[in-house]
Order: sequence, then structure tokens, then C-alpha cells
Amino acid sequence: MKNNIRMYRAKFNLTQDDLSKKLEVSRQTINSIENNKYFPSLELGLKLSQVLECKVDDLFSLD
Amino acid sequence: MSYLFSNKFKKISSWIFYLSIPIGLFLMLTDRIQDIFVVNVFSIFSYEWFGSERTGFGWIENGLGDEFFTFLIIFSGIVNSFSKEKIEDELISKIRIESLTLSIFISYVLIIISTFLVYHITYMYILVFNLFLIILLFNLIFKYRLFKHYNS
Repeated sequence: MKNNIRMYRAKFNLTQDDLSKKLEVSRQTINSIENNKYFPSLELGLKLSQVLECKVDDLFSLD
Repeated sequence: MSYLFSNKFKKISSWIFYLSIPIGLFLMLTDRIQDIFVVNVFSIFSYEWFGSERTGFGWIENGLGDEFFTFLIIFSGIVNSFSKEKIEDELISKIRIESLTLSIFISYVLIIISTFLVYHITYMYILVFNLFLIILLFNLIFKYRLFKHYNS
């Protein structure tokens, strides 16, 4: 699975720290998700799409 | 629903856990653990030694040192391992579960190996040590994985 979180984060000019605070997770968790070391739960995926104003499909896709 | 303890217990339980293990171990290896806090206690069931006369539902004289350290190590180990991080998120939960799984695997592999290589009373000692090993391994693996996570 790959993701476009870094791209969407840049679009909103958010740092990993900013995004982690909005989602109430640690900065390292955002880093792990961006680097495909950790695949988030559906709940966190939906929250990510809400904060980054896009669909979950836009953020995550299968290889 | 979270079954975790508050983050405020993390530091104090860590100190108690990592201090009580060497103190308890030292007292046990020097045969002094049974000589402290000697009081009369109510026993439901007890053998002085295997094969000796059985006693039950009565008062016996007993050193509470081993009971005290057993309680201290297990309680502080559980509280420390299962208290929340400052930011408790789903990745931390995943790391905690993976660390617990790994520690249980390692502990039971050691028990299986010991079952075929260690006999008599020494085997009982290994089972008792394993009581603490599971929680110690879990704590160490979890702390190491968290260290790696926070430095990523």
C-alpha cells in the first residue's frame, strides 16, 4: 500500500508536527505512516482524509 | 475501552520495578529473603517441602520477604508496562501488543527447553523465575521498541 500524505500535507503547508497535533497522535506515527512503516486504522485514515480535505482513496492506494 | 493506567504512574513504577528486581534477587541468592518480616500468617495450604507434612487452614510462621518482593515486582512491572505514554496512539498500542507477544513466545520457548533439560527442584526455580521473566522481557522489549520509535 502506498500513500500521498506527504503531498497533501505540503499542499496545506502543514508539518508532521502540525498534522500530529490535529490528529492527536505522535509526530513519529505520522512519519511511520508516510514512510509506509505503519498502515493506520480505518478511523485514523478517515481522520486524515478529513483534516487533509480529500477522500481516503486519494490518500491511500494499493500497489 | 482502555485498560491502561494513567501516564503519571509511569515514572514511579519504573523506579520501583528496576530497583526491586536486583534487591529481591540479591536477597534471594544470599538466602536472606525468608528472614525478613517474619510474622504469623494465615495459610490456606502449605507444604514446608515436597514430601513433608501438609498444613492447611491454620496459622504458620513465615518470612514475608519473598511475598513482598513478588508483589512489588509484579505490581510495578504491570503498572509500568501498561501505563499510557504521553501521547498514546494506535501505533504505540501496536508496539505494546507486539512486545507482549514476543516476550510470551521467548518465555515459553525457554520453558519448553527447560522442560527437557532441567529436572527436579531446579525446574521449579525456572518456573518461578519465568513468572518475572515474562514481565521483565515485555518491559525491556517495549522500552527498546519505543526508544526506536521515538528516534525515528
